[in-house]
Formats: sequence, C-alpha cells, structure tokens
Amino acid sequence: MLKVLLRHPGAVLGAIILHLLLGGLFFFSFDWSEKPDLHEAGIPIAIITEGSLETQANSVAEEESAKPSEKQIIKEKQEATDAKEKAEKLEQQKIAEAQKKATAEKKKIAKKQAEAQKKAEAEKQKAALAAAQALKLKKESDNKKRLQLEAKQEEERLEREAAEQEKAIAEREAQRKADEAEKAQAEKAQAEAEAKEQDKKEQTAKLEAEQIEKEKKLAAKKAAEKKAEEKAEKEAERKAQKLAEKKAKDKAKKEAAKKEAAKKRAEEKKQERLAKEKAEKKAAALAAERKKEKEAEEAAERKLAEKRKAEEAERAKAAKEKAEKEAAAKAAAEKAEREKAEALAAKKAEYHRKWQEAQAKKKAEAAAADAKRKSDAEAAARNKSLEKAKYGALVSWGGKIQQHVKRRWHPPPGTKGEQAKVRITISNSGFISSGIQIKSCSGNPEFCASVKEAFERSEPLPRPPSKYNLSKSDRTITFKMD
Amino acid sequence: MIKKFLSHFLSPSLSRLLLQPIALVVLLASSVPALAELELTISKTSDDGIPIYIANIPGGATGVIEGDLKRSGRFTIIERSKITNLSAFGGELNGGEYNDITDYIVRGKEHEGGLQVELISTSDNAKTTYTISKNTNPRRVFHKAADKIYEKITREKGAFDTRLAYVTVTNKTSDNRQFRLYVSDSDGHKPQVILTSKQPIMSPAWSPDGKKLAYVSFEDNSSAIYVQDIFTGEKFMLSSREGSNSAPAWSPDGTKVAMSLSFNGSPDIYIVDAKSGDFTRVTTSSAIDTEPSWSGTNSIVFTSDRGGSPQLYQIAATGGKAKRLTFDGKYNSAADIANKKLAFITGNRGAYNVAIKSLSGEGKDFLSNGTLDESPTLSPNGAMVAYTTMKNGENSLAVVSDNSKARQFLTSPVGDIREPAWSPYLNH
Amino acid sequence: MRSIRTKLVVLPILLSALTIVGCSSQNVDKDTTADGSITSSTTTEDGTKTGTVGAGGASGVNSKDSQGDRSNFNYLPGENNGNNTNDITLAGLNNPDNLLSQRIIYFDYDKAAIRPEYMVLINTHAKLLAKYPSLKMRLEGHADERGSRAYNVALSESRAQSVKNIMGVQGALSSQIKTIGYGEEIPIVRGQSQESWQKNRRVEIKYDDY
Repeated sequence: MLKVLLRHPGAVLGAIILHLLLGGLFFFSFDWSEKPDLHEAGIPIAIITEGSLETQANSVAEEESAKPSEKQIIKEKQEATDAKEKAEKLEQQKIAEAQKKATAEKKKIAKKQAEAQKKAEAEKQKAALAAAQALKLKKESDNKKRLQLEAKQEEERLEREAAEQEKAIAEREAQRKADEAEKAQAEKAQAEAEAKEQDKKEQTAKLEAEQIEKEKKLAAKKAAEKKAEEKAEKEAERKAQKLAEKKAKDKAKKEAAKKEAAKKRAEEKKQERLAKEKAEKKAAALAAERKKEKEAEEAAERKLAEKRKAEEAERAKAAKEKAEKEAAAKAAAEKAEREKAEALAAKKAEYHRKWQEAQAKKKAEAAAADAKRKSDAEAAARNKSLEKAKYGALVSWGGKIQQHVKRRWHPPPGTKGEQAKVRITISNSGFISSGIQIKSCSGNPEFCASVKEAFERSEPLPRPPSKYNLSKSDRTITFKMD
Repeated sequence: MIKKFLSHFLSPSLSRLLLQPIALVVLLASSVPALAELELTISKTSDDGIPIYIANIPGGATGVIEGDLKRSGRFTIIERSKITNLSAFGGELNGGEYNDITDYIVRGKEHEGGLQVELISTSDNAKTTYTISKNTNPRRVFHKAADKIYEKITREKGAFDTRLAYVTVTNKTSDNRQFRLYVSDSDGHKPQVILTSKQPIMSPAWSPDGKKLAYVSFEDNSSAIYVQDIFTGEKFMLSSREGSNSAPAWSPDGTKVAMSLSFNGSPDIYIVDAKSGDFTRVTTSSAIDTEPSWSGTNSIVFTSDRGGSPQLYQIAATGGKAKRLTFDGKYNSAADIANKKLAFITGNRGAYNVAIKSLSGEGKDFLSNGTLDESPTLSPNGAMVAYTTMKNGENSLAVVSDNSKARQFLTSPVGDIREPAWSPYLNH
Repeated sequence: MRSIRTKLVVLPILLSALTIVGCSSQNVDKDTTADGSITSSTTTEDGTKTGTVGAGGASGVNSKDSQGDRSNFNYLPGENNGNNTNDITLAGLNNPDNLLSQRIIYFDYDKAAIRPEYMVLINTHAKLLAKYPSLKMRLEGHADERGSRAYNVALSESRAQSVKNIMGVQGALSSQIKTIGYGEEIPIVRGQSQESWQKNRRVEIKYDDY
C-alpha cells in the first residue's frame, strides 16, 4: 500500500489537502456552533464531566494538570476524594472571599459616590436652589431642575435609610442590654432623641434656606455659572465611576488568576504527596514483613534452648533447698512448742481472775439498766401517743394556715422567682401575737410589702388545735414565700 | 416525687404522717421529743381562691354577686348543693359547722327596693350586715353588695360597681359602616349608646369623676377630641389641631387631658387644659409619641418608637428626659395604669398579648394568649383587666384577673367591639 | 480528528475558566461576545436585571436603588411630550390611563418610609398641585390591624406626612395638603393574612372634586 502511495504522490498530496480542509471545516463549524453565550458557558463543561463523574471544578483542575500520576489518583479513590473535598472547600472559601472583597469594593465605590454627591449638593445648594427658580422660567433649564430634584430625593432616601438603620441597630443594642441600668438606657434614648432632633433641626434649617432662596430671583449669568459647575461635577463623577469600575474589574481578574494558580499548586502538591506516600508505605511494609519473619524464627530457636537450660537448673536448686529447709524447721518447731506451753499456763490463770470480776460487775449493771428501761418504756409509750397525736394536729393546722394565707396573697405582677421568709407566732385565738417578722426578702419592696399584707389580710388565722396546750414555740411558724 | 422531697427533710415516719392531711407542708427534721417550729411553703402559683358560699337571694342577686367575685380571680364559689340545711337570712348560724366547706357564707334578702346581705366568717362566726339602698339600675345594687363583700374579705376596694365604655362597629369594611360609643356596667350588662357616627369614633377616656368621656371623632375628614357628658349628652370640642388629634387621657385631678397631637410635625404628647384649652408640649422627639397614661399626678407613661420600635417610656408631665420602661420584645404599647399596676400590649413572635407589670418593677406576667389582643384597661383597683381579643374575625370583650386565674367573656351588643375603657370608682 | 477532539476538550476548559472569573465578581457579569470583547451590565442582588424605562422622554436616568423584586421605575414623571395619558393636568385626574388616576401608596409593616417605586406617583401628584395652587388634596393614612389602635393612628398619620413632605419638595404648598391618620379603623379588606394587611397599610390620595 505504501508503494502505491509512493507511486502516486499527487494523490497523497490531494488526500492531505482534503483532510486538512475537512479538519478546518470541522473546527470552524465547532467554533461557530459552540460559540458560548455567557449564560451557556457551563454547558460544555457539564458534557465533559458527565463522563468522568467528577465535579465540575475538579475535572477542570485535572484536565489542566494532566500528569502521569493521574492513574494513581483514580486508584486511591477514597483519599483522592477527601483531598478533592478539601480542595473544593478551599476553593469555595476563596470564591467567597473574592466575592466579599468585590462586594466591599462596590460598596466603597457606592459610598464614595454618595459622599461626593452629598458634598457637591451641600456646596452648591444655594446656587442650585436659586437656579431652580430661574430654571422654571426657561425651558432649557427644565432638565437641570429635574436632575437636581432627583439628587435631592436620593439624598433624602439615603438619609432616611441611614436613620432606619440607626434605629434598627439601636433597637438591637437596647434588647441586648436589657438588664443594664435604666439610667443608662434613658440617657441613651435621650441622646438618640437629641441626635434625631438635631437632624430634624438641620433639615428644617435647610428647608427654610430653600424657601428664602426660592424667593430670590437670580440672573441668567448665575444660572450659566451653575451649569458649568454642574457639568464639571458630572464629568468628575463619571470619571470616578469609570475608575472605580476599572478597579473592580482589575481586582476581579487578579483574584481569579490568583485562584487559578493556587488551585494548580494545590493539585500538584497533592499528587506528589500521594505518590510519595504510597511508595514509602509499600517499601516500608515489605521491609517490615521480611524483618518480622526473620526475627520470629530466631526468637523461637533461642527460646527453646533457654527453656531447656532453665528447667535443669531449677530442678537441682529445688532439691538442695528442700533438704536444708526440712532440717531447720524441725529444730525451730521443737523450741517453739516448749515456750508456748509455759506462756499459756500463766495467761490462763490471769484471765480466769479477770473474767470472774467482770462477770460480777455486768450482772449488777444489767439489773440497774433493766429497771431503768422498764420505767422509760412506760413513760415513752405514754408520751409517744400524745406526741404523735399532737404532731398530727400541728401538721393539719399548718396545712390550714398555708392554704388560708396563700388564698389571700396577691403578689405584684412580674415577681416570678422572688422569695421571702416570714416568721410569726399565732395566738390561741388565731391572731399574730409576735408581729410579722420578715426574715428575708429578695429585693423588690413592693413584693415584700405584699407578703406582709398577705398575713395582715389573713387574720384571724385558723386557730391552733386547743386540746394539746401548745407551747409558744409550737405556735411559731416560719413561712417560705416563693 | 413529693414524698421523696419531704423525706429529704423528715424522718420517714413523719413524712408518711405528713402526707396524709396535705401534701405541701414542710417541716424541718426534728429531734424527738421537742418539736421544732413549723416551716411552711407558700407558692405564688395556686389555682384556688378564698372559698365563699352565697345562699340563694331572691331577686337575682346571687348570680351577679357570684359572677363578680369569680371574675376577680380571688374567690372560689362553693356549689350551692354543698350546704343544704342553712337557715334563712337573720337566722341562727353556727359557722364552725361549715368551716371545712367554706371560709365565708353570704345570706341576703330584698330590702325596701334595695338589698340586705350578711357575711359570716365560718372560722370565728363573725357576722357583718350591709344594707344597700335601691337604684334605678337594680344590677348596680348587686354590684355594690359584691363590692362590700370583696372589700371586707380582701381589704381592697371593690370595683364591680363601675362602668365600661367601648366602641362597636357594624359593617366593618363596607361604606355602611356604623360606629357607636357605648357605656355599660362593668360586667357588660345594660349597654347604652352614647354616640353614633358613620366616621370612626376612637379612644374613649373617662374623666376621674366618672361623668364625662373624652374621645376622638373623625367627622368632616379630620380628627378632633371631644368631651361629652354621659348623662346630659352635652359635648364640646377640646382639640382639633391640624393633623392628628388622638389618644386623650385625663389627669388624676380631672383638670387636664394629655393627648397626642401632630400639628408640629411628628405626633407628640401635649397636655391640654380641660377648661381653657391651653396647650403645653411634653415630648419633642421627631419620632411617634402617643398613648399617654398618667402614672401619677405629675408623670406620664407613653408609647414611642424613638428607639426604632414602639416601647413604653415615662416622662414628667412638665417634660424633660424620658425613661424607657420596657426592653423586652419588639412591640410594647398601649399602657393603662391603676393602683401601681401597668397593663400593656406586648408583641411576641407575631402575636399581640396583654401583659401586666408593676409600675416600679421589672418583670411582667402575660394575661392573654390570643394572637390579636388589644386595648387593655385596668379596673380602678387594679384587680382586673378588660381587653379585646379576635374571635372568628371579630373582636370580643374579655375580662381577666390580674393573677390570670379568672377570665370571662362579656356579653356585648352586635358588631366588632373595640377599645374598652374602665371607668373610675363611681361616686354617684 | 485528533486535533478537533483536543479542541473540544480545551475550549470548554477555557470557557469554564472564564465562568469562574465571571463568578468571582458578583455584581458585574461579563458577556463574552463573538469577537472576544467584554461588556458588563448591572445586576441586582437577587439576579434580576434592572434596566431603565424611559417614560415621557426622561430616559438615561439610572436607578440607583435596587430593591430586588420591585418593578422597574424611574423618579421623574414625563411632561410636555404630547402624550395625553401622561399630561399633568386636571383632566388627567379623570383619565384612567393617566398616572394621576393612581391614588394609593402602600407601606411596610410599622414603617412610614416611602418605598422608592412610589416616588414617580407622588411627584406626579405634587407637580399637579404646584401647577394648580388652588387645588387641595387630602392624604389619608391607614394601618393594618396589628398592634395598638392609638399607636396605629399616629403611625398612619406619619405615613401621610411622609408623602406630604415629598410633595412639598416638589413644589406643592403645605396649605394645599391636609393629612389625616385613620389608624386601623377603615380597612380596605378583612382577614388576618399578610396579603390583607399589606392592602390595608396605605395612604390614599384624595382630591375634593376629582
């Protein structure tokens, strides 16, 4: 076939040209049909990434780095996924930062514009307002007036929004500091009010100034002057805006480039690290295995020999020791037995004497105790039934008092959690004979007064049980009011 | 649980003994034989009131008196069937016999067109008799009797013989809407129309003598504050400045009316002399200041959004620095003050409820749990609060006790009911 | 074929890179056009584009206020453009196609601040007042039913005054405008829903004879 081709170089050339043409056409048509619209820029990416089942950002990164370690990455899927997630997060963070920066930049620009506008407005207010009168007369100046009014409305809106924001902030602050001293709060409110008042006064002053100025009629000369000034101002504004826009664009570009580089670096590093780690792990694992085997063999041999030796030595040692011990024990035992017999005899005599003495004493004591117990028991039995009944009566009386006072206590609203302790002595007729002693009360004087009033209102209290002849201390009660 | 708690303080035998009669008595552990002093705990949260038994009184007094006492949240009415052998008015009565059933027994009889009632304490058998003279409105006789009983037992002035003023609207969203200003008894009975208008009538406010009402009218496409005698119908215009004339509130001595006026720009609090009509400015903020309520002879609580949201503030009637009273929540307004208590509306997660606080204290208690509760007004003794609550798209009138133990919905004329105003004590 | 496949792969990568660049700047979208030039357009925070609708020839005035879902608007009413429906004349008051026939301004909850989209409407009515100094107007403020009644009266009065203040700046005389706060007393619709409440939070513009 090669020969045939060599024989017909013209045909070969033709084929090549044909191929090139076809290729060109294909490329051109691809370029044409896939010409990306901004809103469709994501679509081709989606098509590619569908095949590899990767996330968009990652597939982009992989395609770009396209290194031999790619296969390894796919093999170590788990690790790779983790790393990817990390990279993703990093990227998201970066995007977020970039967005923040861009937003901040935009805000700054907006602020600058607003400031510039305000400043210009303030500087030229007199002239502008005067001009407004003149402009009314002239058709040409109609447009100018419109712009001025628009600027004013804008300023007012900004002021209004700022005021609203201030209000909202103040409110939040107030909420958070709800527990702080009232005085501070009142002062704060006052300060706010004063500030607002100041604002209002300024506005009023402005409006007054406007009115005065309106009444004055200005020469056409002044109007012309103003026009020129305004033109200059607008020019400056436009320039500032352009500059700001350019800045924002540049910044965004830079940011993107930075991100790209960072992404690449991260990917490269990750791959390097992964490869290295894997190799190291494998080598280490192999070496460790071999070493382990060798060591195990050697250790087994050594152990066997040692064991044999130790066994022999132990046997000899044990025999020797046994003989020695037996001899010594025999001698010691004989001696100890002799000594023990002697001591025992002496002890026995002493113990017997003591025991007799103790026995006599015990008998006497027991007799006395018995007599006492008997009489005590009799008394206690008598008392116990009385105490029990009395105690029961006291408790039921206490219950009545508790309910009685509770129904007559009207603590002031909003005093949840406040507590008081009160001590009173109740006379046999149900009146408070001791005075109402407030032992403790948590703060609020109104609450403490309500506790006192509750007892005053409760007189006469349920009368104490009469048949037990209660002592004063029996009739003294401490109340915990919560 | 209670047992466990008690045994913490007492020996087991004692705690068992103790649990028999009542659950909440707490005694400190004692060394036998000497008994230690009793120690009792009394908690604010209780669900019952003072038990009182009202014997059947001919002429319909029983139901009215029972309803009054119940509404105060301070009494528990003992069922009529619990005592059957009671002797008639004036007859022999051994109180001790009923001591376990009730603390008090009320007996009564009609007397020269009026009423005689006796109040017997079952603990000491003490008896007090009251004679109430006749009245063109017989229900007022019963309310007066309830006031006597209330006062004797609680040692607090009764506020049942008082009135409510309120506004009703029929055909709320149509062009045929009709506004009516009513005055009724404090339990909603005997409603009488004081004023009718096609234009809104708002914010009725009682003069301290209970004879006149100040209110806002919107006749002729502008707002104005009028004062009208509820008996003679005589009225005069107190304020009709440019802009808004709203939220009148009489000073305690009845010589001045505080109100919110906007002729100077934003709504501010002013004090207007009830006779001369002279104005004194109290607040000067550029925010909304409205809903004044006198917290003393020389101080006013009002609503202001100067801090960004509506909150309550207090200021001297002569002006000066305002002190913020509420810090909790995004919406606190519509203060009404009586007997050192302050009822107000508090917004909480989209719901607006009635709350009550002590004028000097920090905390508050919720008194209602609807979603659109409005216009709280305290009885002159501060024991009850009337307010409106949305039920099936219509506002109805409710009364709740200051301890929220009792809540009653009052009968009222047809229509959407709004802005109740509780009268002062009546001296006529 | 090989070279084309490479291009197929490389081009999307390029495009995605561009997209990332575009995304990094939230408020400036970059349109890559056929010739590679980049154009930009302002976009509001929630992604809706705000253009400028020129009414009565007052085009080219850029709205600096992006309120998200709120509709397009500009601040200035048209004038003397020969379009009868937008004439600021007394006759316009009775023309249902004229802006002057719109008489309701809606508000946010517990707020008296004017929403920017109502500036044109308010200014148009203000111009009419300025043009006819004997013409009188009533601004009737209203609130929804939430919160306390007397406070709502003050709130609705403040709403009416907000409108009046803007009209004053536009040349209407204070003596031409009367404000009145009706609070929650005269709702347009009943019902406890956000929708009903929104409809009731309003200022109605009323002319005595029109």
